[in-house]
Amino acid sequence: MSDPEAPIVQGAVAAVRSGDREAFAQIVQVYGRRLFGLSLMMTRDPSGAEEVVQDAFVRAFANLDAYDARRPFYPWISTIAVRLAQNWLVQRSRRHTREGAELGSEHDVPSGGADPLADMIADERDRRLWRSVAALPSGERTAMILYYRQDMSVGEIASAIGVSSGTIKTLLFRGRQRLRRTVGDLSNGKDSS
Amino acid sequence: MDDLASVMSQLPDPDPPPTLTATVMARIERDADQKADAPVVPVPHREYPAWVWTLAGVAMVFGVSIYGWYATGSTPDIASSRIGPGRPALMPTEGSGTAILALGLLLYIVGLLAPLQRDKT
Repeated sequence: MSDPEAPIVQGAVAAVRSGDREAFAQIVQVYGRRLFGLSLMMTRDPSGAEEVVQDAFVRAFANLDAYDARRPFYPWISTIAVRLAQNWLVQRSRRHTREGAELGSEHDVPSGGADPLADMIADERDRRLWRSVAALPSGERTAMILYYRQDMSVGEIASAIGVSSGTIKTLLFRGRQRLRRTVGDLSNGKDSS
Repeated sequence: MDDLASVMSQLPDPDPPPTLTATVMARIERDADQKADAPVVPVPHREYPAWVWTLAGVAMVFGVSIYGWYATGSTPDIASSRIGPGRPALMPTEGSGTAILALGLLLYIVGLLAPLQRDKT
């Protein structure tokens, strides 16, 4: 997918590299929404997603020399955000384990059915759709989001998450099966929520 | 792409916090300021290990000794008595040779004591 904002971003990258720190604000404005959506879908926690997105931008700025300007910017920064979100999920899982929370359920939806992202979506059907995606196990959810929403290839997802391509294919296969069931229910007018 | 692609593309991206850009830029500024304010750590001058000084001292002592023997035109007999005429001295006893010998010994001692000095600091 071509990025219509690419010229703005490449200009901003060149400006930052030549010493204009303020130019980085343009990059944050261009990709802030998309990265926040990605992080929120992965973490399902608004404050966690904000923390991840902030860290991703700050790291991207600090490591801008490592960015190859011949390649599109978004895959590069989204990979940073994905890794940070993965770390955030692992840390939260450890924290919960330490605190004796009951984890390990396959569908790790927050208890009580509360889902901050779903609450941020106005349209009822979109909200139900999101709940279907949110109900996927975190690995399947991450793979589905990166594949379908971020247009990343299986190889790119595997590289970003640090697992094999085979694992990603398995996660996508399971995620598709699960989501098709729930989407089919939505189309038939059933609502599991 | 399969049928799920269109379904997944319908998911909206929620608005990020309105302060996101300001917060990120403030963090970047803060990090830059911290880097600028960080005290410059002086590069420590190169310290030669003690064995270098000791070796230098020993080398000087031996060098002066060998020069002394060469200058007198004979090799000393270490086993024989030093008392008596016609015997070359093991070490030079006068002139610049003595000064160099003293310097060599000094270096040798400095090398020996260097670990003690380092422990004190």
